[in-house]
Amino acid sequence: MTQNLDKTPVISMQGVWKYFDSLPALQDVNLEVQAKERVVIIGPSGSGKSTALRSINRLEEIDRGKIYVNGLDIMDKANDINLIRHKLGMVFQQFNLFPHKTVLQNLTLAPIKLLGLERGEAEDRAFALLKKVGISEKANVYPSMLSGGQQQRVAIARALAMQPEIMLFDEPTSALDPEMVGEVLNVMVTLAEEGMTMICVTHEMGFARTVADRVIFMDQGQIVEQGDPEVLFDNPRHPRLKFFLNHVL
Amino acid sequence: MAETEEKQSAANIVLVTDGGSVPNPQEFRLINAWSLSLTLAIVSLFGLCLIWPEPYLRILLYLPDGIVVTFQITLMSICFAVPLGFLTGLGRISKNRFFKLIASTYVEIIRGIPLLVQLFYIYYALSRFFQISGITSAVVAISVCYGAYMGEVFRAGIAAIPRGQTEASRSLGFTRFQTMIYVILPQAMRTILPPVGNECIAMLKDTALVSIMAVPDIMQRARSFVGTTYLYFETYTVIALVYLVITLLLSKAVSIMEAKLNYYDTKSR
Amino acid sequence: MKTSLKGLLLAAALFCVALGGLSCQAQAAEKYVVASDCTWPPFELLDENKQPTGYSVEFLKAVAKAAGFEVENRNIAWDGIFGGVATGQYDIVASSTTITDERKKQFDFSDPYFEIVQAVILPAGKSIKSLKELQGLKVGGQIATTGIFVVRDAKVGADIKEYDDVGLAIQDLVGGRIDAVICDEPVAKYYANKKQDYKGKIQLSLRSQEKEYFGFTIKKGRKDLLEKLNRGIKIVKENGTEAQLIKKWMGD
Repeated sequence: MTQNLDKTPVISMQGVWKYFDSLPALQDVNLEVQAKERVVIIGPSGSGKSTALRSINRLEEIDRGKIYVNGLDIMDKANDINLIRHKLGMVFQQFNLFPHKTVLQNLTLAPIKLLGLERGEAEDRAFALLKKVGISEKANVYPSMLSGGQQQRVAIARALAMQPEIMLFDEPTSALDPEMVGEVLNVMVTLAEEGMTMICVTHEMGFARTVADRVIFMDQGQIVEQGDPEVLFDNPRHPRLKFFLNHVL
Repeated sequence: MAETEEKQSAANIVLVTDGGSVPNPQEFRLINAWSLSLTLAIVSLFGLCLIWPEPYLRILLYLPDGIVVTFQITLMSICFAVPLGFLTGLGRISKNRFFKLIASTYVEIIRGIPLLVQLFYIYYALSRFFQISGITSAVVAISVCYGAYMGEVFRAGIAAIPRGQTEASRSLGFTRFQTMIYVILPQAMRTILPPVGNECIAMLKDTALVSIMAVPDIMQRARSFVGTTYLYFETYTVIALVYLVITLLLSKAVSIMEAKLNYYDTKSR
Repeated sequence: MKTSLKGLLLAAALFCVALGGLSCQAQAAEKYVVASDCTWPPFELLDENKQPTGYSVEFLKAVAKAAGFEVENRNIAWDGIFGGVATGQYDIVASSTTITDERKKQFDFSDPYFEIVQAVILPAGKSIKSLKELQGLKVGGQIATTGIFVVRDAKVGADIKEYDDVGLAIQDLVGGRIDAVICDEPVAKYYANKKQDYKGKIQLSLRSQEKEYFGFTIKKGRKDLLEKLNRGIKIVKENGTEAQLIKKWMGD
């Protein structure tokens, strides 16, 4: 929290509230993320961590407060949210690949339609990314023929194909069989090592500990505690965090 | 988990329509309900015409211009009903309350009025204000009626696509419209097509009602033939078989199209 | 296929026998069911209580009284009216049915009870001198009526529109969607002269040469019923009832 105060944050959430019906899902959430920072959000289910993440690219519309991405107010009608989203890659728990498109087409659709890339150019980019996530041989199959781990790696590559500045991961390994978690985490670690700004909601405490610059613990729609992973995991202060860690680890 | 979701999206809609049942595209056995019905219908029809050309062949030869009219009305109605149904479906899921209200009201009103009454209404009742021909009235009434039913099919088909698809598309920066065009519709087509095909077949059957507006379709041809010969049994037997052959062939066509749209997930891992 | 058809025919035959049995019972009670398509004023129409009335209906009632049987009237759509008498759903069709050779092959007819010609109705101000002038025009009429047959047999190249009832055809004529309507002359007169809504909009223009005769239609072979009808018709014609009815329904 105290680090990098001199820089402009790439993401800034200020006093964010969100209600589902009349129940508050986010209660006065304040969060700033700096360029190249790797933030991991943990917390029990229903704690609002996914909602917080999804509100950053406006998949959830917040009810109160402000969210800035690269200094742009995402709720301001003057700022085209679709252009802001180009800079925010998102990976979902359920992969959400387009089942009617091949793996390659999943990766080239947005760059061609949204960035105006030539097909060849988009495919070159796609092949490079598929190679990076280790499944270039599956370029021409449909997602239904891939394992969950493979699908999630394709989903990461699809997000990267837009060359985002920030990657948002929403429990990317929660829907995977245990033996496939590793292959997806490896890709994410590689990304982190390359200096990608990342916000990741996850239950993988090992990943949080090794990769995160900062870990945020949310409960009941609030940020309860945050800080360096070593400190947070080894010396939790808040009783709810202690309780959570005791049950997870 | 992802796999279950996929399967759900494909099997989510169970629609009961009054169309002919579309044969399962995965059905490859030689003898099934469809092939049996078709064989029986064709054998009966031509058998009757061969054994007793008088009156069966005479009846059959009395029909062709009626068949043309029936197809004409059906095809024109499809051309209007499908886009109307699509717009209605979009209206029904729209976040814009105005469009949603318009679409829902349209569906409520139309579904509450029998097609026969709608035909009478457009042709006879509205003739006080404007005059349109029998065929035009038929096309308008059937399109408007089936547009409402198809609206529900489109709505259900689009709603059956998992929310995650929209979210993935929007998160890449696609607009709502682009998402519909590139992501949702191509997937929804496969759940929408069989019931829409069904509705089109039901539509063909319902054109039999237009004979009340002095439109010379198959049904009216039959009625005038009976009117001069009083051969009720023979005439309506032929008519029933002719309709049956037509609808069976059409339902097969729908089934073939359906199979083609299933290209991306028929193979398992 | 052949066997199944045989079975079907057998079933149909049994059904007819059963129905025949039923109508035999009806005959014993001396009560006959009468079908009329009540869209053909002034011969068959519905009164304010939705009961069939009109010239044919009342004529038959008079016949029944004279010949000593009872009738029960029903309103039946024209389209299937002959089919119903063939299968025995009712005994008599009293619905301005013209006696034709084609129909006589399938049914028995009573002696004629009324004589008519066909008439062509045109929009007011127009007139024709022969059916030939209908060439290329849209001519409406009630489906499977002799009016339609007349135009069709004349082969004048008219575009024939067959309506479920003649009233709908007249409605379309008034609306301008068709150019002419053909129907029994008294019916044409009724619509052109008696209907307030149509006054001054349509007129009776051409009468056909050939006379047609209405007969009560019954299933083939019911000699006793035929005899009763003919006996009654004779009485009604002779005792002045006919004249009263004509005055009541066709007088100005």
